[in-house]
Amino acid sequence: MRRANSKPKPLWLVLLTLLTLGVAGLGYWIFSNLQDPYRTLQPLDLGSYLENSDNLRGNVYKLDGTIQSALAWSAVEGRLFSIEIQNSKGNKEFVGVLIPVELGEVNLQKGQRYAMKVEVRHDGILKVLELRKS
Amino acid sequence: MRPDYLLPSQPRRCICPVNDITRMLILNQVEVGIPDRPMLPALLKGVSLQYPQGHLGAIIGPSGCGKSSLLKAVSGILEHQAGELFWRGRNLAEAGSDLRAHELGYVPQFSIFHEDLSVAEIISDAAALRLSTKSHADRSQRVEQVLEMAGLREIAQRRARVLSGGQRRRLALAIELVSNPDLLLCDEVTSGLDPKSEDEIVGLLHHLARQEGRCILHVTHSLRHVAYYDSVTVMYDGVVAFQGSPEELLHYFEVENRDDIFSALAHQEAEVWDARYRQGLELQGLPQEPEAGHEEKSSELASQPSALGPLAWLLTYGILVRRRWRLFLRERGQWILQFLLLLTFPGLVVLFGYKGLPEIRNMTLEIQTDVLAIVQEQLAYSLQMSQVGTLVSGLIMFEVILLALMGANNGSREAASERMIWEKEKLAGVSTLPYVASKLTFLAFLVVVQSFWMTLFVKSVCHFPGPFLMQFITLALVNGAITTSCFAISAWSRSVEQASLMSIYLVGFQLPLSGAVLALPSSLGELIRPLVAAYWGWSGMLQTMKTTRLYDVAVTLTQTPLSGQQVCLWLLGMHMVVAVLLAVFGCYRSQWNSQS
Repeated sequence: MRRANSKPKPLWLVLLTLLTLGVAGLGYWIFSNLQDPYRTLQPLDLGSYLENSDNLRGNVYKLDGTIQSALAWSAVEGRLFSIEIQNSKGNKEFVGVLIPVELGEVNLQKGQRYAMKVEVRHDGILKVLELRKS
Repeated sequence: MRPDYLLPSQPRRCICPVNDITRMLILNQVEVGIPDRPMLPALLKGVSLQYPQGHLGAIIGPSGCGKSSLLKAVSGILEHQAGELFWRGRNLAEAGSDLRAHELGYVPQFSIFHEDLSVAEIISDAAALRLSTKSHADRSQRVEQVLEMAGLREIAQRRARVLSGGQRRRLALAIELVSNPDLLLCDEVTSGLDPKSEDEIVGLLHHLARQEGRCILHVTHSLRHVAYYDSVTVMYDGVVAFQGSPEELLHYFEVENRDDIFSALAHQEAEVWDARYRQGLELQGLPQEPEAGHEEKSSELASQPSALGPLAWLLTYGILVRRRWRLFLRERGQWILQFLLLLTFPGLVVLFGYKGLPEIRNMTLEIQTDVLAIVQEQLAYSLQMSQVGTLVSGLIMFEVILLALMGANNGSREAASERMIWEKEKLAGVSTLPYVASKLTFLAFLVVVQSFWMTLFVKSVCHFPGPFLMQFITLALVNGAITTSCFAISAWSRSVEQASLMSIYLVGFQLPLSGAVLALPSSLGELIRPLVAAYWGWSGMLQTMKTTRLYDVAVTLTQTPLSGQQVCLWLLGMHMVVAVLLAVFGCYRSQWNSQS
């Protein structure tokens, strides 16, 4: 091919297209799947928790739920919320979580879904250590 | 004083006869078809010609006979499908044997240069781009020589826009002379000129062929100066009807007057002229292929100055960036438009939110038993959500779309408006990568300024919550994605109009396909969203407010799923990468039929 009549080789185009799509897809997968900071946490087994929370004391779990209503409030402890979660069978269950005062700046809204890092306290209450809007 | 390359009173013949062994250019049975139209009649049908060194050859013939195609075939702009082209014994179709940038000068029919640059700047830039391996002093000296040679010294500071037809042709020639090419192809450089200007140009060509020992081929309609050419080639319907000295012309066509040659041509079919010409060739016994041992050695080719290498690329990049800035500052319309866009677009956004964003009243979190109170509260919340959510989502999308429009304005003209200049610069040895890099540098400046000002202005007036830096990065990436996409469109378009239209379509589809107003069906949405920069910008901007109630109301209102901040930035970045790759390919690909 003459210099004045240059054309990109179709093979280059195909290879670069595949490479770009691959890189874009890989990045998308990484950012979609690895950006969840709680991905390494084990999801809370609601059945075990409701059956005997003592066995789970001190453990830290991941919990996805929707705010249902506030149950109680303390200026020192924070707020106790009822949240709606889905059990392993896909049925709705309700559980109480304590959101401490330190996390008070997060806007908590009825019907809003959150991803939470919770710790099973010694008294069996689920204390939210971190939470993010889903 | 301008040098006068006036035509000599008596024509002086070239010292090298056409059949001299030192011949430089040979065409042997060259066939050229219309690109992408193989069914149509060929432009050149088995053309065999040869031109020696220090030779001024005229190529004449009626319109559409293949004169310009002949030059384009020699330069390589049109690829020959059959036959061979030899230059100094090298078969130009063979790998590594093509005409080098410094060997070839091609002056197209229409003058091609930046109209807002001065003559001196155009020549100086041409020297800097084509002689990037030479020292600054050598280049300056060459610029002076060329200005002198082309008789442009007196008008060196004049902008190209105000030059006369003759001055423009001389400038076009001067650009090619910068690299001192051995082969100069001129396509109707005297057409439409007054007799005096025509005399000057032919005089200059005569001088260049004689004094500098070049081979110059000049396609012309004018037969006024035919006696001053060393040879005349007459083309007719894609074939050569005649090649010989001007003295033989009248006798060959059996006419008394040169002006009757074209009439004589029409009296016979092209095949007849072709057969007659071939018969003459056979009688002369001219070799149609170079003899072995006369080709230029590969070591000689390797020693020729090369425009490649990182340093040369860097120099080229610097020259092109400087030129782009100079052009921007001289195009008053462009910077006034940019200024107006900067002023009005953020103003348009804040028009809808200059009072700031209202505070959101959440629903009661406590358990309620009064059903009426619950319903009333939910109604009030829904109304508030609808108003504020629409406002927040709308303001963000408005920012994104207006920046996308700015991006379309930035990129759509960038390559298409100077396509022919770029094609000539590529032919002269300028590499694609520094060219694209220079364009991206300029565009990046516009993108940063526009996005920064939009973010700052809207944030200051509307008091948008969320981190400034992340919002600026998100908006800059949206603007960058659209700017580079439109630049890629521009690089693949045949005209500025086509590039502008395509770019406007691209921006026009952003809003409906983003899902910010109406959600797409979920499977279709998943398929389309990766391609829509506005979605990633809108989604990314909303994510910067994720901790606020504004985010909650905006999200509750939309049925289009939002993506995480990092995914949004990544996808916008990938849009830019793909667009830049497309732009590189678009600029690399030859496009001589562009209308810029």
